[in-house]
Amino acid sequence: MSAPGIAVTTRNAITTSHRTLLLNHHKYFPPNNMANEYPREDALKMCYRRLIRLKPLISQRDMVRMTYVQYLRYKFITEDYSKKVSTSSISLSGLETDVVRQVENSLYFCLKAVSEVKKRVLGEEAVSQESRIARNILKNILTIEFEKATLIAKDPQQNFPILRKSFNYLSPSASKSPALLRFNSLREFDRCLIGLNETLGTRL
Amino acid sequence: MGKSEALAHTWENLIGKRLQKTGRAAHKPECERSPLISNFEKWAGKPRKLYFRSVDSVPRPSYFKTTLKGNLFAQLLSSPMRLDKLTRVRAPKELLLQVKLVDKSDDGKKSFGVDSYAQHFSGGPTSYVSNNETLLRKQGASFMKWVPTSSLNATIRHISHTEILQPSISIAELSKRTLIDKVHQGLLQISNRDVGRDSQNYDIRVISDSGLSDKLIVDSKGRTTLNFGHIDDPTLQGLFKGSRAGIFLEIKNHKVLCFMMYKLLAFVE
Repeated sequence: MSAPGIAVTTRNAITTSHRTLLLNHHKYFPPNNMANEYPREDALKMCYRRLIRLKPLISQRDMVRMTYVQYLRYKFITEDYSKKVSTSSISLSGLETDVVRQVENSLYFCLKAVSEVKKRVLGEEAVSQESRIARNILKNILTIEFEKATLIAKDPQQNFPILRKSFNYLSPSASKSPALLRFNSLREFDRCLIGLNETLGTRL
Repeated sequence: MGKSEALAHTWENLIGKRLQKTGRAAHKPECERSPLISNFEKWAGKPRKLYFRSVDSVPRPSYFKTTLKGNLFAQLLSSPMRLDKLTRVRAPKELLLQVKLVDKSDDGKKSFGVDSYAQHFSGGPTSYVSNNETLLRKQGASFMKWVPTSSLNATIRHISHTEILQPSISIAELSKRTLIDKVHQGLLQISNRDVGRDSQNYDIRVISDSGLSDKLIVDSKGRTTLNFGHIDDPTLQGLFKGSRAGIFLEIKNHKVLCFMMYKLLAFVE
């Protein structure tokens, strides 16, 4: 039984009434063995370029696309991730310490979030479920980032240092200070995210 | 030569001259097929996805240590976002506490109360509040803020503010008790059933060690250890008396219990 509706098939993609399925993915994937074969700086730039290339695939909405790009810029340029982790005081084993590997894994995570497998293929359900979870996580991260950006825009002098520089809102003592209590949701989310990064070897 | 013929002749001359002057010839497209057709995906305006025809070609780097399905954090983070009524920031709903308005009428007197639920369920007007003891205690007096907005705005069944009773014990206390009870029940069932179990295959280990300052430990194989040592509840601590190694769980079998344990740890912080 074929799916209802018209599909326009071109060399690059199949367009159905719901979505466009891209067939050529080579420009989104990192080259094989990237972490070893390229210098660190180049490898990071390659990952950055590929992550930015994914922008049209992340969402149809300009607002979400903008949040995605700003988040990437922040992650690559400003963020001090080790400080963020140490402030949160979650005990980690520090298994994946290579930054390039972490960034490459994050790229794979994003690729997983935007991929789709042909229906009714053997083993399709498990893979689809994984990519659905990845997509939900990515969307939730972007929502939280949008919330953070809104809070920062409201009161940059107070909120920017807390949310982006010192990461005070993540510290265990934050629940005792009334000024930081209002960031409780963000804190819970980011603590979970650090745990996720540790278990997957990513750096989202 | 007639008048019309002469006009036509002049016209042709004019056009011909101009064409010669500017050197403009009829434009012939250079490509064989219009880019509108060959690049249809660019302007189709549909959500784009990377398409794989077989499962093997899907990106799956070997160093992803666990699957997302068996990962506690992934499961928590992927739940749908809800607005937290206390901090006015959205968060995944598995990180929040569910609050519902329940009918507590007795003897014909209409009254309602606010209840919080550790285990989420659908149905009825619902709101979500932060899962944090300090915050709940602090905001306990203004519990009217927590009442689901949709239940106050309903036109069919009008509920006035005076009909909503002040809870007899604070909601923070109530939530803590239910969380501890549920976790205790769940862990009791497991520890009774799987006494001599092989402790190799697990995602989550639950221990109680008050000497350890960390509540959450991620080990080198991507497994998570939850430490309940800082929760001073005798019934809960009684579970860990016999077993030093702790209780082992798999997420696929005990998803709800795992969520609840994480919630309890986050709650008493």
